[in-house]
Amino acid sequence: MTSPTARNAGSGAVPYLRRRTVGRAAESYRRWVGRAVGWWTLLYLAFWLVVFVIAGVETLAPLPTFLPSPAGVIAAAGALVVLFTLLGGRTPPLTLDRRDLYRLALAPERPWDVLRWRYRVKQAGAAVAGALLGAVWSLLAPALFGFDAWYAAPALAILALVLLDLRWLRYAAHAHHGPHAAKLPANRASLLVGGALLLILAGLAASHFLGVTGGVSTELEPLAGLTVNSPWVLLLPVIALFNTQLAVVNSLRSEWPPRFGPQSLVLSQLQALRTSQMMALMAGVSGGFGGGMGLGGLGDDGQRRRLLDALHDRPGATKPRRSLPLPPPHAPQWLGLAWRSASALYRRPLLRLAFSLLLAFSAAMAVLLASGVGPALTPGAADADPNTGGVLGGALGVLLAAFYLARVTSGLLGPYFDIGVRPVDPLTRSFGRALPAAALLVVLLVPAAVLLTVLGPQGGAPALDALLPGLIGALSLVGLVVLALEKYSSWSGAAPSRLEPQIVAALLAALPALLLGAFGVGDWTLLTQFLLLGLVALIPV
Amino acid sequence: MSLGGVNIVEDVTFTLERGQLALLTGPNGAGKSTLLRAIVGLLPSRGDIDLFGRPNGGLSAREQFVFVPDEPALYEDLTLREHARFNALVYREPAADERAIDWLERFGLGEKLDEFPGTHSRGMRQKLSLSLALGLERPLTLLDEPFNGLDLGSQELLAEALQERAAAGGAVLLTGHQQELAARLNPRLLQLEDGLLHV
Repeated sequence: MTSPTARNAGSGAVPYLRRRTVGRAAESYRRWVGRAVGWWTLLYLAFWLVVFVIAGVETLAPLPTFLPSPAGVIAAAGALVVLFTLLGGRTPPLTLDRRDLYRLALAPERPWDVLRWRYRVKQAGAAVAGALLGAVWSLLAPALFGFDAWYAAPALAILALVLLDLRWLRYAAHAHHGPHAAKLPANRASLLVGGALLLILAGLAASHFLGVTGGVSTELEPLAGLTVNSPWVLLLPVIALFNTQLAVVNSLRSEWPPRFGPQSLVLSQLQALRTSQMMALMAGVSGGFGGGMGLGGLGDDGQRRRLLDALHDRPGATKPRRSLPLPPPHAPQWLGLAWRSASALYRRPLLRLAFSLLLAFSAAMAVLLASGVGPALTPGAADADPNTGGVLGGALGVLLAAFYLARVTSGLLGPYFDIGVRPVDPLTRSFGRALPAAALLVVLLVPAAVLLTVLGPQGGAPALDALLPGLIGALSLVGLVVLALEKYSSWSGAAPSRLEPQIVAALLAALPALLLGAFGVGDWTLLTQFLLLGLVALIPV
Repeated sequence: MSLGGVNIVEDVTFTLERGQLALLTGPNGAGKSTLLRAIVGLLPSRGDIDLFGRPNGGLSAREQFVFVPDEPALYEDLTLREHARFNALVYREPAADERAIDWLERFGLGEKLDEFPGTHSRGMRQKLSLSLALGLERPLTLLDEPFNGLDLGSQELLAEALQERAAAGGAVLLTGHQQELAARLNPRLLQLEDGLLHV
């Protein structure tokens, strides 16, 4: 056995790898863009973009009265950004993929050598974003505020790099790496630079708002690049960047942050999830749950949440937060499917669960408003102008409410269930899967109706005598939207979260109101909706 | 070691000497892979893990071992031959390049050296992963379920290689739950059960 010794010089392995993989990836990307979009198309679009930008700049005319100096607002916004950066740091701003993690991060390579390429790419993105923002500011500032700020682009580009460095340093010294993290040089560096920036910006914001400086900026303020036209505005950002860059390299001399490995693994899975969803979307196939691509539930929201739990080492990653009672072993199939959907909803984090319930409640209110005052469902309302009925009046109101309901329902249906070779009837699947969402919405109709009634006529709410038909109408709408959304999304392979199945479900639910209202037989709408509901329920898809 | 607030492995104390070949066994979910990942520094843990006197996670500790994960971690855009070169560069062992190629040939992949591993079967990818590790001469070799996906001949080859490695003074720690492994390798057994290690 050879006895390896620690060496400080780079091995050349990483450049060897990047020379090959980056070149090949770039070549694959070039071919893919050429085929999928076409370089001439991109060139054409870029040309017109430039033309539009130039035309837009030329039409910019100075305001008759310039806006007041933005220095105070800019300093306050900057202070907030730095504050949030300093308070964050639970997750790394950049990660290694699984291959780099096993092949490079575990090898005797200096962490900085391994991460440098990805860090530079991330820096390039941040700098370009900062420069673009600064360029837009440079173009707008003379017209809006009456001053030039031609150094805004480089100043914001440099500050974007400082923020990226601060994010890394906060991460490297985050308390979840252990009690020693607070003593790390990364912690000192981030607090020194970040704290100084924060104090200066907060002080400037306060003095501007208190009128102490009278809106006069100096060249040495951190964000002076946005208000002062002098190359000296770059001095402070450059000094800050010099310090943070040294600290970043220093933080990656020998050891990786302890949780960087596992978090990288999880974040790369999340990235893969997003990529596969995007590719599925671009390919025009199942975007949400990957059924059509055999992705095995990659797009499952539950899977994403479990990964996020794993990222933060929360209990949801290894065991459920809470569980519904299991259905008995001999329970019918539909109950099993309903249990599956209800569990997915019930196991959400409390805040998300509360938000889902709030959304469902608002959807129930919307459907009631459409049902109570619209000509589609209110007795005698067909005689009224179908588009001016009330808060959500007319057939158009029914359509809008149904669409909103479909959007909300898409988050309540639970995970996709592919029948595949399983002995499950499509009717059983759709009934079982849709049942929890429908039941929840139906239950929420009651308090929503009570609230609308209590609000009274001032709010345009239905009167008591219109409540019952309104409730019945709302029931049929809920059933129609939920079932249509489940069936269409399962049949087409389009995830319920996509617009296409939501629009189809909303149109189908509003069809009776739209058609019968247009033909002046609005009284038949309620009956037709129930007939349509029965028909949709029986379609075996 | 804990994941999501659940203790996976606790109170584990053992020493692996040079020249020892140890098999970490236990039922599914016992924490074998978790323990291995903690040893190499991929998972944070409470307590001390020293690799030849160096705390794990640091650069000097990473000089001491080579790790083969349960699922091969390969670059889809590097050929097998390029993997071997890259691996030798990473570990600064120029001779590891040729040794890895030699192992690839012994595993029957000599004809596929200039192919990408992306189209290869699970077993072939595992052979590449193992060849890269076997090409290196590190004091400690850690392998997570290395026999998975290998044909019988390759299993024999790997078993011999691991025994030779231990005989040459290297320490080898592998996980597995196959009964036949114990008979084939004659290892020191480390039994992990319910989060506790029985040495």
